[in-house]
Amino acid sequence: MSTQWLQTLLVAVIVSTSAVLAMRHVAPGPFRLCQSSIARLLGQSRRSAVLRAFGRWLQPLEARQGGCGSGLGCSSCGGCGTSSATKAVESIPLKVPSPPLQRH
Amino acid sequence: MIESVVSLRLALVGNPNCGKTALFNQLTGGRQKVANYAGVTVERKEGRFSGPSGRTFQLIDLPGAYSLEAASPDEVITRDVCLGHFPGETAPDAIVCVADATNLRLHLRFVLEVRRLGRPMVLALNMMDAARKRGIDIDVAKLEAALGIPVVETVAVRRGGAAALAARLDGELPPAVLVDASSDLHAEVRAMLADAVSMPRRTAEIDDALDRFVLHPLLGLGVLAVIMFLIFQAVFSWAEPLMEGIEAAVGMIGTWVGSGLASMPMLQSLVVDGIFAGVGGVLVFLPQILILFLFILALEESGYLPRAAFLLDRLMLKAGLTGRSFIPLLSSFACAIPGIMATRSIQDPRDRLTTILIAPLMTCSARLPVYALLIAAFIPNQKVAGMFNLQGIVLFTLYVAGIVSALAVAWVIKLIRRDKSEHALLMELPSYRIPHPRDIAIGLWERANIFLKRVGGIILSLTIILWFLSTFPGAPEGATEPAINYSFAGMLGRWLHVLFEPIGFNWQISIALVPGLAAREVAVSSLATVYALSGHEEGLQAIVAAQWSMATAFSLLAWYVFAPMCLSTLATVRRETNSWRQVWIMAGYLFALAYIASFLTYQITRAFSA
Ligand SMILES: Nc1nc2c(ncn2[C@@H]2O[C@H](COP(=O)(O)OP(=O)(O)OP(=O)(O)O)[C@@H](O)[C@H]2O)c(=O)[nH]1
Ligand SMILES: [Mg+2]
Repeated sequence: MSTQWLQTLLVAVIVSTSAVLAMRHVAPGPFRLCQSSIARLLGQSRRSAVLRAFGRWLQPLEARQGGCGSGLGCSSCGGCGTSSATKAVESIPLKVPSPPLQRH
Repeated sequence: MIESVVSLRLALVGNPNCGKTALFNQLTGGRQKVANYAGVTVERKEGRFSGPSGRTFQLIDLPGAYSLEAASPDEVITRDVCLGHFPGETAPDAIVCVADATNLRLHLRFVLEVRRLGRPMVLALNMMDAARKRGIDIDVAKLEAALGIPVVETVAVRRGGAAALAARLDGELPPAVLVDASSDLHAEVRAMLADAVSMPRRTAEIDDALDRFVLHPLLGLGVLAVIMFLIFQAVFSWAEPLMEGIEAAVGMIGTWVGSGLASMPMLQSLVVDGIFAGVGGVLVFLPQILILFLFILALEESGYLPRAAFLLDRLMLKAGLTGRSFIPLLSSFACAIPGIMATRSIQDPRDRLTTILIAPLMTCSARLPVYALLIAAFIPNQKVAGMFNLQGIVLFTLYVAGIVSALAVAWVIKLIRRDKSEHALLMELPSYRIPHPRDIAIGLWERANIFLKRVGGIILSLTIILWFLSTFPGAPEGATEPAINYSFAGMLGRWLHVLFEPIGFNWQISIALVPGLAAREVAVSSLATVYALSGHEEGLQAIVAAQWSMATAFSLLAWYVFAPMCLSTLATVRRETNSWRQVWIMAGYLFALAYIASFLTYQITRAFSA
């Protein structure tokens, strides 16, 4: 019977890990939001030290966040524009000329 | 790890394609993309290096710019960083201006413009190897005196080629020179060149000779067609033995692991039907993807791409695009996301938007597994005219179908949009360069890594979820059909089937399309898992060949030419256009086109095969 239990446990762990990973890929924004609110909840001072440590570990790493809308994306762009870069881009005064056809 | 204190922030600035990123990689050990055309870098990147004395520097790599009067979104970034207007960041402490020593006439002008900013500055004279080879003689001391800033020779692509620059930056930098901002830059450049540089001829002989062929309006198009055609031939004919090897290895390991789990049937099914059948089904396509990238990387470094853009400019103008769109569109063959990012080098916002909207029609490498699976299953592996691989020809046709429909869509957008102004194409043609095998090997290694990460990450997790949905709830007592028909996935598949029946998709395909939204290759792994759970033992290709009609297969191919399903692309479009409207327009038109194309393909093929 214990094999039965072990099996169910393993399958449950594998499937739920996959669900979390897929969530993170498909909706990184809401995922991070979720992650940080759980981390905050666990970080409250009345929790046990273990839970608080877990909460700290769960805190999303801002530094690791790469753009591309999808961490794993097709990422020949590694981490594309930070959001601030994109904002700077939206306001472009348009000027036409560019250098002439040049060969060298 | 303790962060070492940054003593100086440096920004790499210069004309496009002068080797800024190559220098950046050389100094910081980074792996940013380097390629032989203008507009490779489109965003700000950061790295660190330490000088000989151990001081730490922060180095910022920037998009190339022709002038600080920015014309395109990528130039805006460079301008803003230099002026200290970039959000959340002060101006760099010093500017490392990079100039291509073989093209000083153009590049010195920008150096002079940057000098007017009045910041401490160093000039890196890059590509000195190429300049020497061409007999260009530069008197560095004279140039230094004329400019009033330190000038250092570099060869960014040679090991240690930037050591002198690092040493110079580590020393005391002279204060900024104050210059008269009203002088005529062109006249100044001419004077400096006359004084300090002797150039036997303006262009390289070999470039001119090659360009007579490559840029010839007729011969050139022929060359382009032959190159493209050969690439797709190679994708099919070279990859086969490697793919067979991977398939056999995955199968063997799967059987071995599966037999070890015999006492736990549910876990065994997860591992064998889910992980090994599903993920293994995608993994086999690694060789084909790498062969495609081998060619793309070689072409990027050769300097041929801007010439192809130049050749196609006419045609693209008719469709309402410009040659400028060529390279972003070509990048989309890897993935639409870098392609959409690369449109930042397009000045005209409407041209840029059109290019963004059609970028997903270029066949990205994630679609290759789907194409390859169906082609291998339905198109006989035979030679045409004694030498061409028929499967390769079909693959080529599918890519061309994507290109043609992109042009057609661009043409329609042109009809719709009110402003019909056209811009002449002004593009720099770089020198031809023979790609370094080592760089290509590194590039391929990186592509392999990206693919394997995708396989081990999103593809694996989605496949496991699909396994779960296809396994639970189990079949009821006394069930007659395979258990999967009673599962969540089976039910969902049957609902979706109503929508997709007119275009010939069975319920297995319908269900596979859903996780395919997150990563297109997952459509293949999902099919493998669904069929494995339905009790099929053979490989996916054999199952597909036996179970599907030709019409269904062709219909799915047509669907994937348009394939409106890629969430990451839509997210990137949202970010780059800052508008949900464009996202909806794109998703909507792609879905409509995919459905119509599949419908027609299905009905016509059925009529013919009946
Ligand atoms: N022979 C030679 N080639 C170089 C040297 N430095 C760079 N290159 C080549 O020049 C091309 C352009 O290099 P990049 O580093 O991508 O240029 P970039 O200035 O970053 O270009 P953008 O990002 O488009 O502005 C590539 O093909 C490099 O291999 C050099 O010192 N010698
Ligand atoms: Mg660059």
